[in-house]
Amino acid sequence: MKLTSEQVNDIAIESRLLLTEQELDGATRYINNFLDILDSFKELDLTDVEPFSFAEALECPLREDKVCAFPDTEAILHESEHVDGSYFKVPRIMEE
Amino acid sequence: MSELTFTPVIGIEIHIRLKSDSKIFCSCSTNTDAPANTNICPVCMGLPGSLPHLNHRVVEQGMLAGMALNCGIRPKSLFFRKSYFYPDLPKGHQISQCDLPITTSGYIEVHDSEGNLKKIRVHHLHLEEDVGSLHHSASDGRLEGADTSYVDYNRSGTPLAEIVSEPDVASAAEAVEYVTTLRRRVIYSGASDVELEKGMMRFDANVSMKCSDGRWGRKVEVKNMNSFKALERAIEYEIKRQKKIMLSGGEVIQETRHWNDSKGVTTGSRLKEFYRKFIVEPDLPPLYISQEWVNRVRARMPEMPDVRANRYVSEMNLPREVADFITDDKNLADYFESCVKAGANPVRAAHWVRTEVLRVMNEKQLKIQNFMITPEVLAGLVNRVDEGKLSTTQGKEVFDYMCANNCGVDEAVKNLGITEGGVAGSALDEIIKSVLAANPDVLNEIKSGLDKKGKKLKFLQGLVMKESKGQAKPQEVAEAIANAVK
Repeated sequence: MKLTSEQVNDIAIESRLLLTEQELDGATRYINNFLDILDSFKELDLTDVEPFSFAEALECPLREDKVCAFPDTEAILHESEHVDGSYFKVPRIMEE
Repeated sequence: MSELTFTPVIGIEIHIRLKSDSKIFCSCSTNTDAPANTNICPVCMGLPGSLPHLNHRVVEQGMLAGMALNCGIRPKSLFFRKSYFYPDLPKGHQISQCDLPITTSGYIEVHDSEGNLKKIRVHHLHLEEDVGSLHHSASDGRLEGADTSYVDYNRSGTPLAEIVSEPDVASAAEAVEYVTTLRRRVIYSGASDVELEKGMMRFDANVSMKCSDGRWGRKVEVKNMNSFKALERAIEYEIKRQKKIMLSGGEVIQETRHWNDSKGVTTGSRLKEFYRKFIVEPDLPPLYISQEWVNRVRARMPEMPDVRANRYVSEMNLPREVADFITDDKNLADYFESCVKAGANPVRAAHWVRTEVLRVMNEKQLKIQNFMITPEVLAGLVNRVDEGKLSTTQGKEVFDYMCANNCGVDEAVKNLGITEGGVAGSALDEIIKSVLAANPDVLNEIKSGLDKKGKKLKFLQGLVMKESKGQAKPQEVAEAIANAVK
């Protein structure tokens, strides 16, 4: 599998990155080299092998359904520069 | 050339808010009515370094909801990060079970257009977190059209179950029955209150059309329905729209459309589609559910409403409509059953619950759990009416008196001056005697055979009923007067 420089540019835009022509060429080469390595895995027969997710055999820890309010919600609100009263402000997003 | 026919092929996705005190991955309250952004913490705000911690009760609520839909519980499920770039979810991804959901392969029964039962298969139910709410009008009251949206993250991280059906629904009516039945069953299971007015149930529908000439239309996803009526109207609209396109030889485009409730139309969405990529949530190891845990949760499942309604019809001879009505609300059905257990005739008890109990509940804005007359006391009253000790009218008077004064049947009967069993025997004879004595002319007319149409006799019966304050039985009065005037 190979990605075109247009596809890499799309990914960069989704990641909020602006690349110069030179950087885009470099990134495309780098990603494609990596994809070549992944392609070599196709030689393996993985028919009965479950997809790998976790290195250790862990179980999801569960917690009791108990409310414990965070003590400083104001501090969270003021992590943002864009606050109006108790609301976060974002650019208006048209829904229709 | 034969006329073309079209078969709608519809799948429905439903989001239901699960009932819990705290959010799915953090300990913030699920109260979304609290002042904006007061139930937030680093976890539901996606701040760096915070870790999700799964709520035990939410897992059980998911199991209960799945069981209510006849789904099987999977021994292993997994959470994923679903990439999602929108300001109502600050992490940039939604934590959701996608490929490995907690419950799968269920069904809900509905009636097809010919009235036969058919199964709508439920593909799966998975757990996920809800997003925050965006307010497009300004918080300071400025009109819409401002260039800013306001975000409240109180809802972000509240637990949701997403329920995905197979494309087995063939009409808007089936869709409504499917979601109505599903909602009732989930409420019974205790997994959610599913209050529609609070936005606890939201629908998307995938609609496509199959034509009798072999053509298949593309699938259109219709979003933005949050009431049964909106779902019904949106599907009906979409069926008509797609049929029209196909009849004119056009092709239905695969797209996402939004239902506009005020205009009654669906419109193509101009929203940019996101990259819907998934990766395994590295902060949440697999969720393992043992058979023993499943058994414990299953033991809490009550009888489902449709099963209960069928039992009322087959064992108690309730008309189907009445059985469906009573079982619609679990608490009302519990009240009715307690009344029957206390000895009331089921058909009569159902009638009393449906008319008198509901009337007072509505008048006084009461829930059945807080109703002033216990089912056992109501059973006593129903029985006295049944046995003829009280007339139906008297029974209703007693019922109203008990509601107003919070007292039992005996006290109400006594305070209302009602003679149980009615006025009969010598008491009735006394009344007749005094009525006849006060109306000698009428008596003479009858005795001399002038009352050919029996009008005078009826007049006397009316006077006796009045004197007995309605407590005599009309049939007995008629016979007793007929004997007295011979």
